[in-house]
Amino acid sequence: MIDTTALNRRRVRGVYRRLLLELLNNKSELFEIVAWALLDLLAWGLLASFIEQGEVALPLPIAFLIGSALLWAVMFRFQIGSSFSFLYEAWSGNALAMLASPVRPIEYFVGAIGFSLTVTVVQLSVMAGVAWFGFGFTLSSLGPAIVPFFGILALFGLAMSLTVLGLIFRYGHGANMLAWTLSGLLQPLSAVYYPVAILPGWAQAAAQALPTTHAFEGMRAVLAGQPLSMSRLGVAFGLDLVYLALGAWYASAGLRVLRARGYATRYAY
Amino acid sequence: MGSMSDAAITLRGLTKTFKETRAVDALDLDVPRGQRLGILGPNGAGKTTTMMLLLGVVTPDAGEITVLGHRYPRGRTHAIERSNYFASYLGFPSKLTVRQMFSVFADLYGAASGAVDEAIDRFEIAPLLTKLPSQMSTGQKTLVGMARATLNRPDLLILDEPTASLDPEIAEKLRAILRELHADHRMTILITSHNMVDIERLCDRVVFIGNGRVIADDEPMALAARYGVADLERTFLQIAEETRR
Repeated sequence: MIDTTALNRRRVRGVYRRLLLELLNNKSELFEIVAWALLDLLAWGLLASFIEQGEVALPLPIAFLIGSALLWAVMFRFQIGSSFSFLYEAWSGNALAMLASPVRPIEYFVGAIGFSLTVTVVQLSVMAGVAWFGFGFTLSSLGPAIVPFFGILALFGLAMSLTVLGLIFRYGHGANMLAWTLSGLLQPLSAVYYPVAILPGWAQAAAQALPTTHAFEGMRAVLAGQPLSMSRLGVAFGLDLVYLALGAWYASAGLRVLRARGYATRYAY
Repeated sequence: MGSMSDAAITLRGLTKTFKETRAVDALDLDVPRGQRLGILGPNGAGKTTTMMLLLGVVTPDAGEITVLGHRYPRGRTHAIERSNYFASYLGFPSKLTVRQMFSVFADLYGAASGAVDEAIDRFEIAPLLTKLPSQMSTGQKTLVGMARATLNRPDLLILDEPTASLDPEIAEKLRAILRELHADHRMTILITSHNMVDIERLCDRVVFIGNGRVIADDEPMALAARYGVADLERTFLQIAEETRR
């Protein structure tokens, strides 16, 4: 049901503006966005400092752990940014008005992606500033490789958000816990803070099927002075496309179910 | 299939079943442009489902929907761009002020510049522009919701129970504004209400729905006369009773 007709830019802007205003008018949400990411960063940064001051032979712990915390935040923000956008509508009683409006699903999703991108840039800027001031880590130490790593993680975040949207369309508010926890469930397999070789054999095989694993393994390789592996990037982007296609299919199917079974009336105020 | 069709709404064999319940049953309906049509029926008759089908929020099991010359599902977006909708159960974004919400919905519906101010003036809601939904009364929310539904100067306005929970004064104010809107823009108005006064004073045609089908279809007073009663309230009771038998 993803309509391929040209996007109406004004409607996309309307969705973007609606989500941004909701956030700007919600001080506790604004605080949470920055605070949780900072706490995560501080925890990993302090742990890395502790390791560095000790006798543990671990290469570049600050760079590894802080770089991982920053990149994971990108993935998480893209994942919840788009899936939570519809939950905002549901919680505020605006979902039915949105479903009854001329906005096409693809226009809504593109507006939500723009919103996620804005929030990610703001959040990452704050985190990067703290990483630099507090731990002397700069994102530029990743060099130009940072661009594809961000891309891999953002695309996978979007794929997961589409899956969560599909679940919300089918199961309503009850699926909202997945919006928070899905990325957390995948984090251990993604080898975010440690090499994939540490995982048990079966988990290593599963980890290879996640684009996130390739991004974090690639990041550690670059920070350790190795060249950026183009084949690893290719595999990661290829997996992203597969997950995006599956996520889009699942979200579209969920929307068809919502319309066929009349679930929209769940959102009557 | 052009958008200049004379019919605002054409429904053919429209059918929708939820589990075991047939909410809309092979419904046929033609609504000419500019008509003010009241849809009456007891609870569960299929009125709201019909509106949801018209809005494309619910998909039919069978049948055809054409709105403002656009055939669904392909033409749904074009039809809804020139339509709008208000229901007493429709919420507002809880963290947005009225002004912010209007700016968003003006974008979503492609409202022309000046249309927002026109709606604010018409519904006399300027003092509410800085309010959040939680700071408004039911009557104020209805006026704001109605203003939101006219931001794009729609050719088709769909209203589900617009005067529910309103005191008689605000309900009459709303009816007066709707008459004025119709006179100014000749928009087609489709309205459901359990308040027979709404239908008598606003509509030039009434369709009575029971069990998802059209039971009766006429001008309000002609319908009452046909059933040998003086007003729509008694007509409603009589038709509802016959439908149950």
